[in-house]
Amino acid sequence: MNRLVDRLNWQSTLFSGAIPKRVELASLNVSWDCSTQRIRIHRNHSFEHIASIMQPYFTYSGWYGDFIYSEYDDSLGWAGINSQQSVVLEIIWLDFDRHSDFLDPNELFKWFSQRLQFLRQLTTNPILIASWISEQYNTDDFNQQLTNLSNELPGIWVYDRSLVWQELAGKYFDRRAAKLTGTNLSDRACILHGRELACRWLPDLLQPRIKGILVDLDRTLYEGVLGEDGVDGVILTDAHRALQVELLRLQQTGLFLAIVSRNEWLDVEQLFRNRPDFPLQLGHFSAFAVNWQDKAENVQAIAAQIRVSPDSLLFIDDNLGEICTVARQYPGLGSILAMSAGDTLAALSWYPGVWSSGLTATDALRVHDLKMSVSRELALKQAEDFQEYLSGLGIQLTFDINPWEQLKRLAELSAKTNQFNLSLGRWNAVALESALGSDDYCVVSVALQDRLSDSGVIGLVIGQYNEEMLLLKEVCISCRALGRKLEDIILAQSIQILLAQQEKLIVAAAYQKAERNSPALQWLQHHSSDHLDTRDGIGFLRPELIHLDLSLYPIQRIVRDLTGANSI
Amino acid sequence: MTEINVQENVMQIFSTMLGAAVDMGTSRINMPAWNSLKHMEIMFAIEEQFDIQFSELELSELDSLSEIVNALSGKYAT
Repeated sequence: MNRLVDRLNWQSTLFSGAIPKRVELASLNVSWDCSTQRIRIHRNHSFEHIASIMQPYFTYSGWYGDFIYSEYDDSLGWAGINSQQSVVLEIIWLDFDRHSDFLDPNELFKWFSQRLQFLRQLTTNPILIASWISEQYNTDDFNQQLTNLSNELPGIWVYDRSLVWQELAGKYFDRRAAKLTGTNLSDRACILHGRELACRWLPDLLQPRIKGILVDLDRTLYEGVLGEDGVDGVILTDAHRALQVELLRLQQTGLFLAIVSRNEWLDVEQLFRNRPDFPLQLGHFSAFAVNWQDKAENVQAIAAQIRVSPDSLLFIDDNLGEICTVARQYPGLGSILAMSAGDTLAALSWYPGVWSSGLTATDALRVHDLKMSVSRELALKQAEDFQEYLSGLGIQLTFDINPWEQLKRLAELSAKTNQFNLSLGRWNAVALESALGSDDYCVVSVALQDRLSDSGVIGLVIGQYNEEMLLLKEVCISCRALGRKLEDIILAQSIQILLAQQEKLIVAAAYQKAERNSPALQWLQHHSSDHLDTRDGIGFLRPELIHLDLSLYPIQRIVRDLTGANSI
Repeated sequence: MTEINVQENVMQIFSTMLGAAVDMGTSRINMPAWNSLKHMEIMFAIEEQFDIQFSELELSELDSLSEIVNALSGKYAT
């Protein structure tokens, strides 16, 4: 409970709308256990003043950043890259001005891209490169080329520093202290970069993004209490409007919104019907728990409704007691104590796991897809049998073999899928690229659409061919595709595709037991002759699944072999 | 702000940034935690708190708590 209360107390310091103060951040002392994440910094100027800002943000999220620094190395020799230390992220933090006395920007980019490609071969870790900010040189072309390169090479991202540069205007650099700090950056620039990296980039690269936001109504989305002030009495201040607009924007990036509120449902319905000035309307929410029941139970009910774990959700409420009660039950649930609307907006803006560096077409499909799941459930209830249900939905499954162009989406699927993920292998783009180019592996992606929605790519199966066996190293199905009873069909077809590439007598699947992947484990247990009683291992699959007669199901199945197409 | 307030504020910043108790006799010689990295972060925190700016020389040469308090008092006096 101390951790929860401390975290809520830290909220106003960490996630303020103003520039955080270094001394206030330093006053946030650790009072709970944190896991260590090791990050390697390749640099030619100091990063330490940024790292010290990041630590309290990491602590808030339950981890400790162990930074390993290169020497101040203009030549990018990547020293220490082969050490045995397990590193989760490589950050390239360079002052490219230092190279520009010797190389023009085009030559500089050519040289840097060669060094970067060499680093890419040395490690499978994600690589984050800070863009070039300069008072002396025009860096536009260089930064654009850098972005283009990051789109071509797997597992590479560019941190655009220009937002901080613009926010600080003329106060980005501080030459006065450069000899002592080892960098030209001002302290404010270090603070803002530290916050940006700790709240946005590192959670985005190292953790799954949150999947939904649960919001209270009274004194959170508007000023006042609906039950007392009435529909016309509650006030939408400018700050509340801004908060609602931001929630709406986040919904459009694929986050589910849900209402968890102690109110009467009829009042809530009337509120949204009669307040067209509210940017958020009922249709923007994917689930509701408007009643007088325990909020922890309501959180569980909503999580089940939108098919995610409570750990993937963020709960915003103005009642400290409610937050504590819910968090006691679900320690992994994120929470924001709604104070003023402006503070809540700032907290939402900086809350780790909310921001995303790159939104895919699939993100935009997510909310609509879930909405349609209600219609699908109704169809299942009304259908006389499973065949009629499938037939009515008009399901189309597209199986792509070795789809290089889907590399980023598949890495995202592997990183973010928690419930139907057998081995939790968390294959990043580099590891996937290696599998795509290997004769010992075959990668199958699965896209799903029906007459209600296009779900995009929802499945990933990676097969490894051993002497006599096909081993499924990775089996992921997005939670959006669950509940349609398609798991057997998707996986039987994938296995048959993999066996058509290389015939094997035995098929097994690797698994790892974790808190959240019980749907996948239950599926494997159902189809395996083995008892899955160890923490991890493999389960041999029964012939009934492997040779399932797929022609019996009224589903359109398309198989495309993309091996070799557009390989990098 | 009085000289006593300046002193109290500076001591508070030091103890927070260094995570240790300090007094007016604290200097970079007798406080190992006050390394060059911490030194700059402390000086920046003081600048932010008092809304002043140290010169390049002051940033490098003020290396005891009493010297910093004196420099700050001087800035307020002017």
